[in-house]
Amino acid sequence: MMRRHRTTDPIVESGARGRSLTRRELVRAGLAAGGTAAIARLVGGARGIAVAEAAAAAPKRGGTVTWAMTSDPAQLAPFGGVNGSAFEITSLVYESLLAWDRSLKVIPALAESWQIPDSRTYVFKLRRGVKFHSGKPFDAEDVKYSLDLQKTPPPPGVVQGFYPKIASVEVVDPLTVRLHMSEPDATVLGYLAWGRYSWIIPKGLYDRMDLRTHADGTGPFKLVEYVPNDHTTLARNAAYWNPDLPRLDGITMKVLQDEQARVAGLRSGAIDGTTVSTDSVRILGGDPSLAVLKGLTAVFREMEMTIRGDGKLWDNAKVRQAVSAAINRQEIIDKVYGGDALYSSKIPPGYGDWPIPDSALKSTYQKFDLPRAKQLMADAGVAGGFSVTLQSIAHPQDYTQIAEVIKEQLRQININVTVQPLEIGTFAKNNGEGAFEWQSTGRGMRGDPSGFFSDFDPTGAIDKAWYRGYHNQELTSLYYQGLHEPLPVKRLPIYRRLQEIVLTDWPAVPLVNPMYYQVVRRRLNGMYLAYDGTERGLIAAWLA
Amino acid sequence: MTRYVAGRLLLVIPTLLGMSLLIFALVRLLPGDVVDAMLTGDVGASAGAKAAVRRALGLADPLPVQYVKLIEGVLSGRLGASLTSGEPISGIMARAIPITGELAVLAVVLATAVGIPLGVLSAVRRNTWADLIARIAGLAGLSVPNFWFATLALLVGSLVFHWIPPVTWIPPWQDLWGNLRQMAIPAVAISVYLMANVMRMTRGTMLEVLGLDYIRTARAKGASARSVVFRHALRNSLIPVITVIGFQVGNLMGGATVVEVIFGLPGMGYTLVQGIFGRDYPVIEISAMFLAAVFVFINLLVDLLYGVVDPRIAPA
Repeated sequence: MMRRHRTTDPIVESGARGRSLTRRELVRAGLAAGGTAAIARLVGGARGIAVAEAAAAAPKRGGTVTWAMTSDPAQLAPFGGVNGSAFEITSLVYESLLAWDRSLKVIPALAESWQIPDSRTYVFKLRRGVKFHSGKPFDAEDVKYSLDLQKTPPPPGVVQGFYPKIASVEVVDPLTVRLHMSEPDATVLGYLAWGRYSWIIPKGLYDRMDLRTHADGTGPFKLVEYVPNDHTTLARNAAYWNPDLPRLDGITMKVLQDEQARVAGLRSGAIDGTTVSTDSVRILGGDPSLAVLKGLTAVFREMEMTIRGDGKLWDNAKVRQAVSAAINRQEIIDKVYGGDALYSSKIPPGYGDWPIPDSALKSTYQKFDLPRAKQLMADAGVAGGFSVTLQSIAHPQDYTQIAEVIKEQLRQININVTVQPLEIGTFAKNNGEGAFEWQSTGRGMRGDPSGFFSDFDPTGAIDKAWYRGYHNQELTSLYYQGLHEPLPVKRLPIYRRLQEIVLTDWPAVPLVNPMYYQVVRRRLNGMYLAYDGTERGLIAAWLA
Repeated sequence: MTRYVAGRLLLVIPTLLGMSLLIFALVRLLPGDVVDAMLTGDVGASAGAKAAVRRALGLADPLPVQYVKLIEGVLSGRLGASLTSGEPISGIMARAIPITGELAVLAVVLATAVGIPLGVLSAVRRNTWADLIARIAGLAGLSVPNFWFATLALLVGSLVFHWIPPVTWIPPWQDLWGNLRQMAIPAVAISVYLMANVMRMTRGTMLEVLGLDYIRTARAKGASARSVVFRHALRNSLIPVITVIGFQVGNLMGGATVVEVIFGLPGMGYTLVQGIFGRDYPVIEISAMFLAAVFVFINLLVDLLYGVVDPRIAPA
């Protein structure tokens, strides 16, 4: 939950180029960001500006930039790493078969085209003439090697739940790969497009180099040097298969954890761009040499409950409904995020067409309704309330601040919440083991909408640790239906219904989704906020 | 003298051993391990998968075995590798120690060069304007946290001069001038407290010494004011000052963490804190043991320095 703090929605990106936000605009955007209609209005303006400017100025080649990262990648292994900062680096160095465009549409990358002859078979035609940074030509054997290794990544990589149900990878010819699925699994395309766990590396690479600190990909930038806790140097891949890209000669990704240092770096010109908080945007917005990029994170804040059937009062769905009805999400948004966040369903806002619209969340599913909450508590026979401990991540502070607001709000229905802020290592251990009553945490980006419901996968680790006492037949069967159904049109209603179930039965309590900001120096053109929280925008960005 | 030094050196061995045990135990008492920290619960890794990673990283062995391996490694010079990046600990230390060492040396030099003369001036010109200003500055220096000073320096630098120190570490052996430009502000930031401390300590002991009989005697026999202050008084005032500086050098080796984080300098403190967040056991253990060893040796050095400054202390 922790490290994935940076996912962004290009759809609500505003002020992409040539315009910085004033404080008033910020507040207004925060308030207006309610309805999808408002989002659409924001989009219109932003897209218009971006497109017009792109057409006006022809991109140039050359020059290097320094980008400040907020935390250290720790290691750069292509497979089985779960660190968001590492993903920021690997997404510039490696590629997968597919990619996402700025609105999460799946587009070709190392595969030029693909076919799905039946629900258990995927065929990919590979791009011709691609070379790895080491000079080795790319072919189907590399794809087989990579996909096979992703299933059980070598240490320190960790087997994760996102690997699709691929039974075998068949090399048909040097430029054709066929995936045979053990069962229908609609997550394949999203898994490949996300790239986070699905990079393609040359066959046998793990035997040749220490991939924690070295790399050999096909991406637009080559890894020159990774100095842990300090910086990563990237240089243009002159042999990149797309001759127009990248435009920059090089990038230095510098770790600067301290926000004030990043702000000072932007002002002084020592760095060309970085991620900042709302507060810093307000300070920096007036600087004519800087441009503010605004987007949505796909890292929604959520309250988890362990439901073990051991007699805890919130084992009763009515109590959980009361808890959600007593939570005033707008107050969380105002008090914790200064108005700069949106309501979030179990699928976060901005994740394509999948999430329940903001208006419906506000008017129905996540409506603050204290009388109803009190009634539900009374119906459940617990009007007198109970005591519970709510663990929160101590840093960043917003998790604990949310917990504190919830504590005050739930006092109204006589629930006595004790907030317990925990350092991340301890929090993560408790989270994995289900050693908590309630937790204030966050959930992250997924390659496929099904990923947002994987906590409820009865075969999964989370379900065993948290939900031994929670069973919802409809949820489980829809979860599998969604996985088996390849057609997006047919999947939409399934995921709509899944969200409705979660937002009425409340096995988990999604709360809000903070907005996300990056600030860049104006000399850096064409940068955008990538949905997956990486700096992919730097691939096409250029220096004036 | 030789026997004294040898005795003190021998005492260092059990001290360091006890310390290593303490550090090892404390680190392992932290809830969660590197696997928990890497996974943070969100990718649906099964308990079996986590156990496999633990085995691969050597964390499945019984704790006493792990401790013995650690000590063996330290004694044989095989420090192991980071559990997350796989980088050899020796490489991490080789990067971190020069940074923090340089910061500490610069800070001590600065603090001594400014603090001692100011303290002397303040004592000799007691209750004058100069004294008053020096004392107020000293009080301010003691009260200002170094991270506040660092942040303020960055703010002023970026707003007024549109300049901040270069953000990526420049080794002095590659570019000494660039390195000094980078280190100057962080060094000042961490030396402010020490400077004030040295100033106040020098002033206090100088005042005490200046009132003693032998100073009156020196004056009476006609020694110049300069000679009285510097040859007779200052030298005798330095012992507590050296204690303060020595103690602070140890502190500075590990205590410059916040300033290192602010300026993005991957020194000892930064490395240690990152290691703790990531539960990177070898990194934490080795850097903590190194810092503790520095402390022990600096204390020893300070004891020996007493003898140089004041021959009466030199053990027979």
